[in-house]
Amino acid sequence: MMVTITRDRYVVISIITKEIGVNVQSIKTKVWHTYQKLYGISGSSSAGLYFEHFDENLQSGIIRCSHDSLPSLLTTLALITRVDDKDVLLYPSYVSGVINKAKKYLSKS
Amino acid sequence: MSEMENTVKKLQLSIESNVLLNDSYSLLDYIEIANEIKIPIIIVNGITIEEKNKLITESKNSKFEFVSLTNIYESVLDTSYDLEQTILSFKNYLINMDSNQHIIVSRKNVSSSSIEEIKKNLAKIRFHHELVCVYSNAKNILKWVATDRRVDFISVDLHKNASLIDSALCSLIKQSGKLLEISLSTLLTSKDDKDFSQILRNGKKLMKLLKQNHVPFTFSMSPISPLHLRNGSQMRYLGELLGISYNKSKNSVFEYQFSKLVSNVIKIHDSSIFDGVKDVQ
Repeated sequence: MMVTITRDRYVVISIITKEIGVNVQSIKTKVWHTYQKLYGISGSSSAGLYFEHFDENLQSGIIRCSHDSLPSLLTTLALITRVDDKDVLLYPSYVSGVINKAKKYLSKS
Repeated sequence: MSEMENTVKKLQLSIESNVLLNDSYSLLDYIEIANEIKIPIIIVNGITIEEKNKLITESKNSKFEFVSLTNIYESVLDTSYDLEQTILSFKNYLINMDSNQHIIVSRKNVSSSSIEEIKKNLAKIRFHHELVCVYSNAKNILKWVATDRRVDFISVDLHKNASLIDSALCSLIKQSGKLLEISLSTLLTSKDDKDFSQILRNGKKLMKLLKQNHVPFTFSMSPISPLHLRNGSQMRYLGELLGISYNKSKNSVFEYQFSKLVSNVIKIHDSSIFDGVKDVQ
């Protein structure tokens, strides 16, 4: 029997905003809702979205998804313009297949 | 700069081709965000070449330095008449440019309800702007514009005039070497889910038609605020929603606009006599 292993991708995102107090939890909810609006419950369940790490001071974080769903996640991020009635831009600055490399990039930036 | 860094920068080349300045946001606001998301070229709607040069002079003491393509042309000016060679020289300059430098380009959107008025406007503005774009809600105007040599882009709003584009217009656009500019800002500013699905439907229909007729198209965000700016890669992902795959929209976020821009800069430059002939001192 062939064994298939799901490969993960780690997307480092920067939260660009001019306003203060953008809640990390609200960003997570917004990403989930937008993904579900675009690709449905079935799509979002197979995407394997997981918010690995968020740094409130750096205003950046790491989102994990399956490698098949990477384009869908990047489309979702490009569509988000407002979180908590505040204008934001979620910019995917780096994509890696290894979490340590993503964390290294995050700590450098 | 190492070869790898150059390759990475090359992959990131993108243009925002329709920034409209207003009282709420200045050019510096847009440049600040463009710098963060790595957009080196900003095309500003409504400013003339003289106004652009003034902005460039004023930027010398500010955080970001603005550069004009004409100045780059003068520095890379060679005796060859090959457009492709010149575009390559421009790209090399762009790849080696500092991260705080941004190229500013002037553009004018012409919109009118009659052909006569558009004719008058085009005659007045052509040599005052580096790029000229026409937007119209009338099919006969779009057909006339598709054959006019002074026009570079025909603008399409997925909300309003996308349904006017048909096969006949597509073949006219293709024959005359015009570009169809698709504004993606409507995807970000839709009122509700119904509105969003209507925009997607219009976009998918349009993309299918453009693919069938092999019409060159470009993406622009036409942002209403700096945070609505998206770089080339992000625009290509938004294009996937409209049914065009990421790999097939490679030229739509930089190559087409850039070659049009370079060819116009050469035409407008003082050394140009007419198409393909220039004064060499």
